[in-house]
Amino acid sequence: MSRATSFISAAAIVEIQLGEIKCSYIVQIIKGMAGRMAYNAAYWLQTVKTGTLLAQNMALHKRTMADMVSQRRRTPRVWARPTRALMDEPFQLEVACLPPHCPVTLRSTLYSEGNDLWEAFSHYVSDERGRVNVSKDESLGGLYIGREPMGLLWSLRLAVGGRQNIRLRKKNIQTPLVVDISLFDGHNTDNFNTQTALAMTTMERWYMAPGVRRIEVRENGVVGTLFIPPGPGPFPALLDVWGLAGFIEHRAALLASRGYACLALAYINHPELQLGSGMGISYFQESWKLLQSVPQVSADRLGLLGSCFGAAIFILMASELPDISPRCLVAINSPSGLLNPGEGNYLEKMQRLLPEPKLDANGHLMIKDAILAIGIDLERSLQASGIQCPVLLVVGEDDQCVPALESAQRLEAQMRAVGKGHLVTKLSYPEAGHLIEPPYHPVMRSSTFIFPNQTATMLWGGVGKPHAAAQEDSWRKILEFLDKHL
Amino acid sequence: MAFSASVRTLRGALVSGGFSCLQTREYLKRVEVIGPSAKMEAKYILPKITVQPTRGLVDEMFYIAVSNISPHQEVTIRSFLQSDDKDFWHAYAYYVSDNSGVVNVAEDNSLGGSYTGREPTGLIWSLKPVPGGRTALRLRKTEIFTPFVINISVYKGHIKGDFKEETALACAVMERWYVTPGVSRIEVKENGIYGALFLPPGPGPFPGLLDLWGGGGGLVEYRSALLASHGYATLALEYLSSKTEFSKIGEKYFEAAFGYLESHPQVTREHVGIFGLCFGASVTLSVAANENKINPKCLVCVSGTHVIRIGESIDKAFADLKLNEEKTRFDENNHIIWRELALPIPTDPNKKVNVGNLKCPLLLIAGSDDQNWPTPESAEDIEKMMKEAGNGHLLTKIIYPKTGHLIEPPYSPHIRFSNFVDLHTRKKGKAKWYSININI
Repeated sequence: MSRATSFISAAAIVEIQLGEIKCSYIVQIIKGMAGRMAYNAAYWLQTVKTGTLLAQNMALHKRTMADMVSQRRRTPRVWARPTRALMDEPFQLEVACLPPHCPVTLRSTLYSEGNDLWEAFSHYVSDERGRVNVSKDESLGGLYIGREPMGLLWSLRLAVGGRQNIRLRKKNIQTPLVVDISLFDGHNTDNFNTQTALAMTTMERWYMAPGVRRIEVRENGVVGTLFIPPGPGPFPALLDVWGLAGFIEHRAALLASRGYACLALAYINHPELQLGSGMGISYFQESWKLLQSVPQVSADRLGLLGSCFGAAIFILMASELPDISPRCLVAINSPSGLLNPGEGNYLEKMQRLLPEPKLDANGHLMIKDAILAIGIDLERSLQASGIQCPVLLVVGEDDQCVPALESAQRLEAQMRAVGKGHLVTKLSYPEAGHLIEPPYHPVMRSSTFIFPNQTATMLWGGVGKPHAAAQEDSWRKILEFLDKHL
Repeated sequence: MAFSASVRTLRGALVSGGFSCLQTREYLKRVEVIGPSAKMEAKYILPKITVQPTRGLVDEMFYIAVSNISPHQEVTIRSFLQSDDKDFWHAYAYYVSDNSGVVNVAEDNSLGGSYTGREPTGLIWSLKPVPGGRTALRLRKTEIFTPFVINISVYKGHIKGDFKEETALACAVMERWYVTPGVSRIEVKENGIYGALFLPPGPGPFPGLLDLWGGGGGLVEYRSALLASHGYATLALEYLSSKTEFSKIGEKYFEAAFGYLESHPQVTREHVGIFGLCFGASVTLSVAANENKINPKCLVCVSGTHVIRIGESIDKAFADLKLNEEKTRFDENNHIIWRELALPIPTDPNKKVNVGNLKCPLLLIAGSDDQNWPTPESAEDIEKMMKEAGNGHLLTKIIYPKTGHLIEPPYSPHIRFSNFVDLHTRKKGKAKWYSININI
């Protein structure tokens, strides 16, 4: 079981060097299938193992709760360490004072700001001393199996019975996400509300380290939020953008907690922006100048970090505009078939030009092929050969929203064609989808997306554990990349 | 660092058989090319302070390190905070960076400042009020659910003068909390008792603790909150304050408090202990030694004496002490030393708590330099009494050398003397807690 999962983990973190587009694509598909088969087999075997273990311990388990309490010094305890941590920091979870070989369920719950309940659960069996250590023991069931120290966070999903298909987004990032972890007797999968937990503990997950300053920026038409680390500086700085989803601050807050002054930039779908459907290139130039002018920022140490369409805009800026000279650039799942933002309103332009996107079997929107179609038209594809700085490309190979892998390969080829191939580092993760967020964020395969004139369920791609591993690994590598170049 | 991470990836890739020798060499070449050229362009490397953890409990160990400074550079590291009472506290230490431009507070020696030598947590326990502000203060948290926010800065050189005129090279911020998330506070005002109950998160039931502070009075909550963060349902009891009339406070009051805890639905009935400091320790011993009244599972007494007996009312205990008032001494700074009031330890057993009656384990902690109460002498006498009574095996006694009266949760600043209001006489003065000069 553990060998299977370690195979998947090893396969998940592979850097594809060369290869024809077609060949690697087929290899990808095979790898993906093999991975999924291995995963399913492992899950089936685990279920059998659990069944055997349960049968063996039925006699032991016949003890009632009252027996447990009276015979032990204390009631069972569960505790997390650390109780307060940044979102990208791991935590350890331990349970003690259980009877030996007792099946238990650990359940994590979180109320998001929309008052939706998120939950995850996993099944463990205590050892002969009555302890469970989530960092070391293997989960035998639930939303993840095997040894997953952080599984109770990244496997969080919206609870059945509430709203579905919504991304976990925190609007107020100055307060933490509060995660409760409860311990239940037996291996349960539902109806947690009708049972009494044996024990509980609470954890806070913060986006901002203490001392990080958050400043709302509304200057020269630029709309965004600036995060500055504590201290006089001057700090290296980053411009941070996301895709068409709109304005997201949490990654910028985390980057500031790691020592970079970071301006999270809004450029689309924001009520305070003039052009709701995308600001033009001059807007980005203005925000670059603004960031350079912040006194706590070291003006010659600026970088660009973007996801999705934002990344494509940054690639364009770094390549074509001479006054934008970043020290480095990070692009996560960027499409290469993006129109030049030009004067703005590119979302409207794109919607006119995009062929009708398809729906998959579940009625989820698959945009990727439509964008791929644009990308193949060379006149409209992104030219990245003007980039002078190191580039880190993060690719989720199972991205169903944009053709991330093909775009990254095209970009790398373009750079190589002008002799700058050594500047490009590509991180490619099989079975990871579009939404590569900071580590331990809940993994979502699809969610509701609000377009200007319609709401649809967008398919992002990505499968549980490999996507979570990609989030963790890419974040670490991004931080190392920034540390080296910025 | 980036290189080693790539090697890990490499190993993983090799395991899955995805790499050939040629590809490996090309890959390594590329990593090397990117590395050195970028570093050589950098003109100014920002000094960095790392604090681990940034948000921790008050009794958790923490680590501070400074990096990216020149080798063998003299620096001053300073901690700074504003208390709930709006006073400013600070501590500072002089260090010299090593060959790679790193200062590691946990390992390196301080060459001066608020402390010297190797003191990993010195920047907190040596905190003192900033010169120019109020003096004779104790650092106590009144707002339990907010943290102490401590600013850690590093300055160039060994600063001797006022820090206000210096610019820090870098800063970091650390939060120290008395509660873990999920701990709840319940105001208690029933059966005549006053206090605050802190419950850990979860359904329970939890082992319970009755937390008693000393002659300073009021309701001191932070240690109870900390104990609740460690899994104990803790009741901080208010018994010396304007809410309570001293003549009515006696053993019955404490027994009622104990009974409240025992019968609380989230407390395990047979697992309730008592934790007492100073006067509270005397209360603990008195109440526990009363036969057949209450049944604590265990006792912790810090800096207390058995010479004060709490019977029907604490008024009487105070009155007894007042008889010896002329034994109050004052040191050269006019700080009050009260320890003589209870000396010499009487040999008459009726004048002391009958610790031979104790039926549960007792942890007795005292500081040998206690200037407030004769706690080391009391501890020795308690041991003697318990051995004679045959329950000596229940006692664990720890006397810390060069330690004063206020033995608080770890890493709290220690105070040599502070303002004290004698609640009985309402007289104000400055009580002395210990005498030895720590900065030797």
